[in-house]
Amino acid sequence: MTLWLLPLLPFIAGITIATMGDRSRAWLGTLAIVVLGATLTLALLAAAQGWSATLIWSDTIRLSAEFMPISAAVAVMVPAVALAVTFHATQHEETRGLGRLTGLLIVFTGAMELVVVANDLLTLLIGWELIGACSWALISHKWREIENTHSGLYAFVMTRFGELGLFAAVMALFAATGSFDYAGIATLQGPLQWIVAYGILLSAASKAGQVPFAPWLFRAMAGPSSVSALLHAATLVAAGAYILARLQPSLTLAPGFGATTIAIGLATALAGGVIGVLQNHAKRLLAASTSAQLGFMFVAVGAGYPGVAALHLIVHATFKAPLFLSAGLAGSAIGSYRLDQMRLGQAMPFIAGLAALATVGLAGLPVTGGGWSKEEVVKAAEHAGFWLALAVMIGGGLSAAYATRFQLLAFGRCDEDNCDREVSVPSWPETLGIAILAVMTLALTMLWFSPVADAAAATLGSLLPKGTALAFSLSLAFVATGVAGGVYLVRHYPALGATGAAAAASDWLGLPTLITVAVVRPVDALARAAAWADDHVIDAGPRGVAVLGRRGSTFIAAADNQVVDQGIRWTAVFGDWLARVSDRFGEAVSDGIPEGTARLTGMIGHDLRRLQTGFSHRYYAYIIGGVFVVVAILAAGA
Amino acid sequence: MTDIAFYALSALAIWSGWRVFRVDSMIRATFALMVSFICVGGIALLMSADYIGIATVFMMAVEMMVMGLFMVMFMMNPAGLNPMQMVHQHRFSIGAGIAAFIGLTVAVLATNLPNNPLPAGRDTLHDLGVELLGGSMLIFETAGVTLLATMVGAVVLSSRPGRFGDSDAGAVPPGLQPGGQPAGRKVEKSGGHGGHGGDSSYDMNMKGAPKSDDAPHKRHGKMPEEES
Amino acid sequence: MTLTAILVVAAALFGIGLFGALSQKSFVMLMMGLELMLNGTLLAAVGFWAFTLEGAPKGQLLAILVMAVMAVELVIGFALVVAVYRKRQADVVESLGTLKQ
Repeated sequence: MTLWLLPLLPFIAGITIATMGDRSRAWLGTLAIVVLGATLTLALLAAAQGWSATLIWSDTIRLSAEFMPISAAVAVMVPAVALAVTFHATQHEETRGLGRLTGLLIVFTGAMELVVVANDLLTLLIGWELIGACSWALISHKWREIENTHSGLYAFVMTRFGELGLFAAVMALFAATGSFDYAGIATLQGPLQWIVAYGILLSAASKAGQVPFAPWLFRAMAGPSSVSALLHAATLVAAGAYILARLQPSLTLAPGFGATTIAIGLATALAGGVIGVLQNHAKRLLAASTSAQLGFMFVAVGAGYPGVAALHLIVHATFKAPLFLSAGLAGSAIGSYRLDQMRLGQAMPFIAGLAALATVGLAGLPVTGGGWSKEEVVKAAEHAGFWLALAVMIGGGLSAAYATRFQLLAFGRCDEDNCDREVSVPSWPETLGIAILAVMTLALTMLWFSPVADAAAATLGSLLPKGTALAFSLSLAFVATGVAGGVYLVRHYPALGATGAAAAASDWLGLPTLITVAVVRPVDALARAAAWADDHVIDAGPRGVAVLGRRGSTFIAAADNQVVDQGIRWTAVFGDWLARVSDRFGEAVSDGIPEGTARLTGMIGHDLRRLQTGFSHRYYAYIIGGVFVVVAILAAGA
Repeated sequence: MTDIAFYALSALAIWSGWRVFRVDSMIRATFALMVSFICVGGIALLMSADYIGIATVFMMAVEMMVMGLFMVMFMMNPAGLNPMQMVHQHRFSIGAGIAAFIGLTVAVLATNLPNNPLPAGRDTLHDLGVELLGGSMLIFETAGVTLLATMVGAVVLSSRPGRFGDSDAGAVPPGLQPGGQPAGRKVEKSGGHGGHGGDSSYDMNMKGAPKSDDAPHKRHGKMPEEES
Repeated sequence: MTLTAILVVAAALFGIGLFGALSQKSFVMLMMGLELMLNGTLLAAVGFWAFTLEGAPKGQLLAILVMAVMAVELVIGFALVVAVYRKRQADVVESLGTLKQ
């Protein structure tokens, strides 16, 4: 059977559910369980039977999907966690837009599966893009508040920037080997290998919320708590760590890859730990802890133990998701996420208990699966270097501190001004999702047992590092110190991180501001300059033509008005004048000429009559005159 | 010799011709004209036109007598005892005369006149006689008949019994109806009452002063428009 | 005594005669003017005969004709003068104005 079904089923189902509109919680909840249950079944079947699939896109492009052991484990984990979280979402989130939320969560599951089962970089890229798009849509779910859409965009742009690395890797791989298969990565040499390895590392770091990409995870907390639980704790951010774990054997061949990965992971773990200790916002504390835990996974990958990273990924997902969901419940109970105002332990005792189960895993206490996988990370780091292991231990201690702080502040005993609040107790469907996840966490406690651990390692097809007892005890000491420190902080500085320097530092130690100043503002200025150039320089031509055309037409219109119309007006005036003149003068002339001629003729006739004097001497004189004239004419003619 | 005679005769002819119209006495005018003709006859004689010269003299002598008779009959001042100038359109006439003289002279001077003089010793008289009664008999006879007609006409014109009665009785034609107005145009009063009746054209000034010739217009009085 | 001189004299006589004919009021003086003009013409005719015809006798016929014309004119003229005087008592030219419009 084709492995494409695994992503396609939730994909299509999710789109259908999203477009169906808002239905009742029961209906949507049932749908979610059915679809994701089917997906989980498919994943189990595919893992058991080793399905694979290919898709011939064209002569050169060939998409393929295959199950490696690591991918099998993660492919099973994803729908399991998604099932619980989506069910919780259908019961807890507000009804407006619930259909879209549910559908998108299921679509996201399908996309995540695509990322997990991909066997070549192009398929991976397709899935990568899809989960990024789902993340944007889900963070901006409550789009009527403009801040949420801004946060979604921030998250999307930042992870997209990291994805440039993945694009570069895809292109380099194709240029080098002519195909996108993972298998080709190991054969790379020189600059292309460098581009592929570090491109994938860049995109993984951005997706996983590592330093310096961490602030987007804080902004992503603007989404509903279910979204935070699924995407930004368990799966999407884990995709970064997953791909590194998946490709580690090939990627580690690139020079300096391991060291860089460890450096990134350690920096994030330590910084995230400090911020988690200082943070007062419940979800942001958990987000900082997500980045820190992913830092641990990066360390494991860099140290050369991808199986450890994958195990930690799975365990982290199972305890982080219920923490987010319970933080969401607490937040909707008091109306804000301020930890110093929560203390809902006695208001929501069951939830508090479930959260406690998850918290101990986060703290890395020895009896939990989270503690076990963290110890494995320490052991792996020890293999890379003792100081690295020490740093991991410090990170573990910090995580214990903030985990304690979270649990005690959020679900601790209420004090004088908190106890008499009216708090709505969550209903059992809401609790059910958390309960399922808490059960999963509890189940992973079994990893402390060696046979289980070995079986898990064998399933994953990787080795477990061997550590020293010194490191183990040192790590436990750090954890204990962290717990004590957390208790101390809660007792004496309950409002830590609400105001002052702590509040400022808790926002990723000023990293967002640095990003704004160093990246956002220059890019904005560049964009504005480009826009200005486009408007004034490039558009100058057409605008000039348009202006010229407008001026030309205005000029022509004016010329028409002034010259042509003036000519017409003058013609009219002239005609008018002519008419008037003709009326006065022309009439006089045209009447005068005949009348004058007549009068003249009359006068001539009257005067001619005077010639008839009757006197013969006159007539004689006339005759003489006439003779002279005739003679003159004749003489002239001669 | 002949040249001197010619010049003298021509000068005399011209001078006496001019004097015709300058003298006060009519008889003297008549005689001046006769002198002019006699000079012209003399010039003709000088040119060997014997018959014409002699005939001119004869004829003119008689003509002048006749003219003198008529002068005495009809002119008011035949003796010229009172200086009178009876002229009209005086300046125009002088201009016309001078213009005619100049025009003719220019024509004469400008023309290339043929020169075929009379051969000397020719008996022109004989030739003329032969010609007159020979080849040109018709002309001669016609002239004679014309003269006869002239005589008859003169007699008719000047005889006393008119057509409708005695001519000096102012005979008028009978009327179209018996006893009615005489037929024909009504005779105006102009020219009645003797030679000087109402005729203000007689210029009592010294002779030489031109007189305008608007008498007939003035006689009818001013035009109505001119009366203020 | 060239033809030119004779013709000039004839022209002078003609001019004087024209002057007289146009300017004289009296009938008789008018006739005298006419006579002078004919005088000039006679002289011119004789002159032409004498200088251009080599004595052909036909040339004199014009002069004779002029003389005849002079006679006729004189006779008829005076007859008319008499008749006019009998009718209208007119002895000056200006007395005859019946042709006036």
